[in-house]
Amino acid sequence: MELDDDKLLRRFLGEKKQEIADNGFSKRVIRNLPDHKRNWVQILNIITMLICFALFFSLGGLKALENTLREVFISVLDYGAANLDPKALIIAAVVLIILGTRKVCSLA
Amino acid sequence: MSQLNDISLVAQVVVLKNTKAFDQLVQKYQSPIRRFFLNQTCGDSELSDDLAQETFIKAYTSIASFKNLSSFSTWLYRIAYNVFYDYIRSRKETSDLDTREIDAINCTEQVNIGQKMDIYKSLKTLKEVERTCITLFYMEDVSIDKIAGIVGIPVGTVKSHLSRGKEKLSTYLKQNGYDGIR
Repeated sequence: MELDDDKLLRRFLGEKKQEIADNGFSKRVIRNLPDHKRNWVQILNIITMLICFALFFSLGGLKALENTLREVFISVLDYGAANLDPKALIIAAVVLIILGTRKVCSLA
Repeated sequence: MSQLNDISLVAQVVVLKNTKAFDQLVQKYQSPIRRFFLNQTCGDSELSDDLAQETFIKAYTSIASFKNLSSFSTWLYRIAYNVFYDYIRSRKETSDLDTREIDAINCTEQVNIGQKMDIYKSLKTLKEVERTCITLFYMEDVSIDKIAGIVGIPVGTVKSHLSRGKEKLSTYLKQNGYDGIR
């Protein structure tokens, strides 16, 4: 009796088992994955960055940057040479030595 | 071989976040998982697809936790069962009904689907956990041990659900003139 019921159910449910066609289901799942949306944001970021780089080089950004850096460097050198304070340099050196010693001690 | 292939695809998803590899897993398992939900909801295809989609998204977000202790399909069924269980719980919170009424609600009967009607009608005679055990065991050929892992209950309890479900379903089938010869 038990065996008959077993066979009956296996036959009935086996007959009713059907393969379900995908019909765009997997595409829908992939579209809704959290990373899939994040990927699009990353791609958009990269495209925007590339456009910025292209504009920067094509509009002479490199030359402008070079000139600005040169001017800043020259003015810093001029100012440093005129207002060099040996006391400040000594204090900075002492502080650096103390910090370095502490770091070495903590590592040991 | 199939299991090795699954592991290789899972590894690609975990390490490289390869959505194409995950797409292959979805294509491979969409049919059994959607069928599982169709049986649980007694033929509500729209709800089944929504729950199946939720299952695959949960599988994707927690794929790193797949430890290969069971097969990928068992792991996926476990997620699917939890998704369905959460769905039932959310329905219970909105209405204070007993299990039989909940089962009746979940079985959103579909009209005009011909032969399929018989199976969903017959599955309606079972409690939700009996339905899970019966369909996994008889339709998907999942072993009792694996069903216990999927549903999260002891093997003995699975056997009791199978026995009760089998009795109810075979009685229903015999009463409705199904003898298995047709």
